[in-house]
Amino acid sequence: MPWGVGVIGAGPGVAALHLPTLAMMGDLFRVVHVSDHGSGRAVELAARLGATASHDTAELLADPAVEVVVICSPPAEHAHQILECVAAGVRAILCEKPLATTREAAREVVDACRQAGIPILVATNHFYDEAWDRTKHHLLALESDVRSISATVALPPNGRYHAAVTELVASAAPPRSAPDLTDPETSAAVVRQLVLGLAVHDLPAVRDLAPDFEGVDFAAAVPPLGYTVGFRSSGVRVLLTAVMLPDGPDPTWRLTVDTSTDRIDVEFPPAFVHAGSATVRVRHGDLRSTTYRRDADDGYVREWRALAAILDGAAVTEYHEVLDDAVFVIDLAEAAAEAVRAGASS
Amino acid sequence: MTSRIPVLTTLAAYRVAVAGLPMQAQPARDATGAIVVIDGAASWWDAAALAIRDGASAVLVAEPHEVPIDAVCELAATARVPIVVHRSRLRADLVESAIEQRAGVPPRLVVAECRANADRLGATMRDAVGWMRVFADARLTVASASAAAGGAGALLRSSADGMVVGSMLATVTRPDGAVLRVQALGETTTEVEIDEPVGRSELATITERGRWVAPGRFESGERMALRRAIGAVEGTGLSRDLVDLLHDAESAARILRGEHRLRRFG
Repeated sequence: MPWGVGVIGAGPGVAALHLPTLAMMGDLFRVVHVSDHGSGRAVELAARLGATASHDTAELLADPAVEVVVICSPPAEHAHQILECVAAGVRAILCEKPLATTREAAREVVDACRQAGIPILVATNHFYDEAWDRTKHHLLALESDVRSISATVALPPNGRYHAAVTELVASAAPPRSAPDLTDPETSAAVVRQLVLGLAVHDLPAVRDLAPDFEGVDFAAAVPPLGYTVGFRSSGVRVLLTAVMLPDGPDPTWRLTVDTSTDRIDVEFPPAFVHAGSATVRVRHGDLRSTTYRRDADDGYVREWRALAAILDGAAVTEYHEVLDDAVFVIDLAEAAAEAVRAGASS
Repeated sequence: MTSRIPVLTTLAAYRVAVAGLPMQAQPARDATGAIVVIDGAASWWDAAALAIRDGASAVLVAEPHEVPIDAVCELAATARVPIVVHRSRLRADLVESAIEQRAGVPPRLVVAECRANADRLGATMRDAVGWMRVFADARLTVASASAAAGGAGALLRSSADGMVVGSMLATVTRPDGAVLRVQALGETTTEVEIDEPVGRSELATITERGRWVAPGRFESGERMALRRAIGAVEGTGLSRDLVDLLHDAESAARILRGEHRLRRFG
């Protein structure tokens, strides 16, 4: 019997990502309820699925058919919605990244889940991609020290990838204007938000290799919307670069790990689409090159399978890892924002 | 047949280059009136000054290793003949092709990643700065840099308007040889990958229409550099190579010294 899923939020992340993903896993999950704050999108999405719709999280949590909740609301709402889920006694929670936007909130929600024995999984799909397992296996076998990590991201608008997986109702909202990055406070806020919302895709993998955050060396906002952040963690130098483009080629999303001998490139497919796992290429120190086989499942499918394994008792939630991942991201976001302010005035 | 320009060189690759340009070049016995090819491995700035004093019509510096700023500044200030610099990781024809394929679309951000052993990392970073400079079409300022034994990282801005040009990550590795990857990200994206030990050099231009990979370059870098030197002698006589080399070397040196380092945050 599939688990009944309640979905909080009805934006593109739901319509173009989680609902199509869950449709591929009907043996494990079934969407039974969608709620939002009254945009009307929840009603439409639920109607397609024969699910219940509501305009209130409380109504969703009171629905006895809801066993598992996926939180896809704006990041600032995640923490209190997790606490609401815990209070309602749901069976498990899958929370879109980030888990929380402050350290205090992150600790509070992880403590609450741990004490209630409620599994929680943060949807960091790149970390769940099989490509990352391959990368880790290669590094373990290599026994070579990691020297630097670089995550380079350039993203065109999401619309073309939404269109590859679903049909979205055109938004009536006017397009957002670009932020004024000449204002240091605005720049700092943009970088903080982008680290929490975009860089977070790769930071669990970075923390996997370099867990102890030491500090940011430089950070800057990049127009029209992006960042470049240099920092160090466990003695490893890390460079994060991202730019969101108004137009342009298919995404570049590459995570590169440099060891003293090998270079490993992990190239992720575009968001939203189901094109299989990332590609892992290794340039060995002895000049050989290896490209690993790609897996049919992407990180989105695998994160839901990971949740199913926890629900079935085949795996457990590592609460300390969930918390440490969240705190790592928040520490970095805040230090990067501080560096932006200082760099702008220097 | 037009007159052939004499070329004085002791480097085998350049002798081959002279032989490969039989209509334009011929071997010379002394520096007077000749293009003098200087090996960049040694004190090339002194050798270049000497060649100019001896009457060279141009100097071609082959793969400069060290770039002592004061000495090279003096050379640049006093030289009255073209000085062409050949940097294999920043081949002039590859640069030209990369810029041409962008069709005037400026990048939003440039990312340079360098890998090399400790001896060669500085020179590799210098060429990475060169790529960032040409993509940005601007002189660069090292806004922030951090360096340690294992490598370096830096943020570079345009000297003209202070806008972010991009960032660099440099990593010291054990095997010999340099690997350089530069990505100019934007509505048109350019990727340059140069893997010296493997002997691979690839230039790709990526737009919404797809990925275009530049055809292979079968002319040796030395022959191409010699053609540029001949062009400088026969043409305007001007070359910005030395000025650009100085710019790139100064920036790389600042990064390696960790200059302009902000206090550490977090």
